[in-house]
Amino acid sequence: MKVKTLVLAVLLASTLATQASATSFVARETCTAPESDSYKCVAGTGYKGTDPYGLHAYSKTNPVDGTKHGCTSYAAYMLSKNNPWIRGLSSFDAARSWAHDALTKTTGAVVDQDPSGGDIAQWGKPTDADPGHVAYVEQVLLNESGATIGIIVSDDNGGTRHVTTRKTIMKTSTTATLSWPDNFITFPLYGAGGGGKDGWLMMSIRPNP
Amino acid sequence: MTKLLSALIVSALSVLLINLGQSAATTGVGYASPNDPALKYVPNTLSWSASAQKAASDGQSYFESMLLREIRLQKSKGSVKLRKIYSTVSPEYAGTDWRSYLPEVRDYRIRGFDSENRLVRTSDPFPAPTSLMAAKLVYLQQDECSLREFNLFNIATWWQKVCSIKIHPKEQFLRASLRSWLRMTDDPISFARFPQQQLDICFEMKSKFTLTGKTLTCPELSKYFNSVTSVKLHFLDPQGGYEIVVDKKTKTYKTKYFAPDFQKLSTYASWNDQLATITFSSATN
Repeated sequence: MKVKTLVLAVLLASTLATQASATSFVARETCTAPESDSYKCVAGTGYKGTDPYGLHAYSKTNPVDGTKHGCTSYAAYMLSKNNPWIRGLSSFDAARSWAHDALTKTTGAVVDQDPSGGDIAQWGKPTDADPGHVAYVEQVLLNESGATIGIIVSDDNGGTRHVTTRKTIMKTSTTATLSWPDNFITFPLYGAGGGGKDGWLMMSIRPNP
Repeated sequence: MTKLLSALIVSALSVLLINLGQSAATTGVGYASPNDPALKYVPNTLSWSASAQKAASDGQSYFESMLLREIRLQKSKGSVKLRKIYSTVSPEYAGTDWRSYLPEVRDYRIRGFDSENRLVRTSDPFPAPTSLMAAKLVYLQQDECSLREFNLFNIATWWQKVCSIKIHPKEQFLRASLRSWLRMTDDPISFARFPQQQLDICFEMKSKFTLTGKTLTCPELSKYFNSVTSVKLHFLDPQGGYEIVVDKKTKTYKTKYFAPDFQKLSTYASWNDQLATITFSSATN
């Protein structure tokens, strides 16, 4: 039964991947929380605007429901759930510096351009004027030959948005926070078996409008 | 005649003041470039409240205590001389106007030597990893100094530089803290980022849109952002803001960025123990 499902999934992914080469895929938010229910897109995680590392101190408050929102706070929260305590994370600079800080302020972190489930996707570099962005990699989308074609991330957004979202980002995406991240940060995981480059077959795609 | 002239001058001044007041209250001074230094330059003329001074005091004590602990440890292990070893400048500061706030941006380690000039101990970096630039305003003052106390019968102690900790004034500490805060939190650039992204997509798709006051509505944005189809063209709060002017014909836009209200932010100064930093966030920010 499992083998059958796998074969079907591979066939479906293969068909979709063929379409993928014919049409350029678009990045999009698959979930955008309304301001009145601003944690909706990450409801399963338990995140409510705070993190044990205290990075919510830098977050913005949603004027509609009074909740706090910040991308670094959400990323830190997810890391606190899935990774051993990361010494030094509380002293990280803004999102633009996370790749640099992961290498200089913690031990065991790996920064590369190859995403894995559980990574932190990161946009920007330390010298940028823009504070940058970070998101939690939920899934990696692979084509039939196992190459990465996209990712699904969840994130929190401060600025003027004050909401959580879930985004599908394709490797060819170029539009702001929907663009392909500059780096992927893998922090040490619990146990020795973690940290593999797990991927998921792409089960749904949307053509470019 | 004199009275009439006076009345005219007063009237003209009033109009000018009212106009200036309106401008400041509604939009402030806008800057066309997101890299304009004025957007992040914390004036050195801010007046700091008593609670802000208390926050500075707490922060300075925290960083001083870490240095004192290291000096005590060095002494207990037999060090009689300390030397600072500087690290290279972190790239985080490459794009920061830190020279306006700090005399020295490099971190350093403290090496202790015994009376035979043998290395006793090398400390962790100072300040301990932190995003707070102001932490660099509390430091071991000398590049090389002695831990030996003055002794009339030991000539080596007569002209030695005795180790001491330099703590800069609270106002300077708070000013550098506010600059750090503005590096860490949302700023005019990040406020404008999402609406700019929405406009880029809307115009790129050649979608239909409507402009009503300071909101642009582009229904086709739903393909990217679900129910979010409106674009906020103006935003302003104490952390700064932006105003986007859309040219309907050419489907282009220009952004003006507004600097934070530094004086307002200064009133929110508070020492955060967990992060070992000073935050400037109001309850509603």
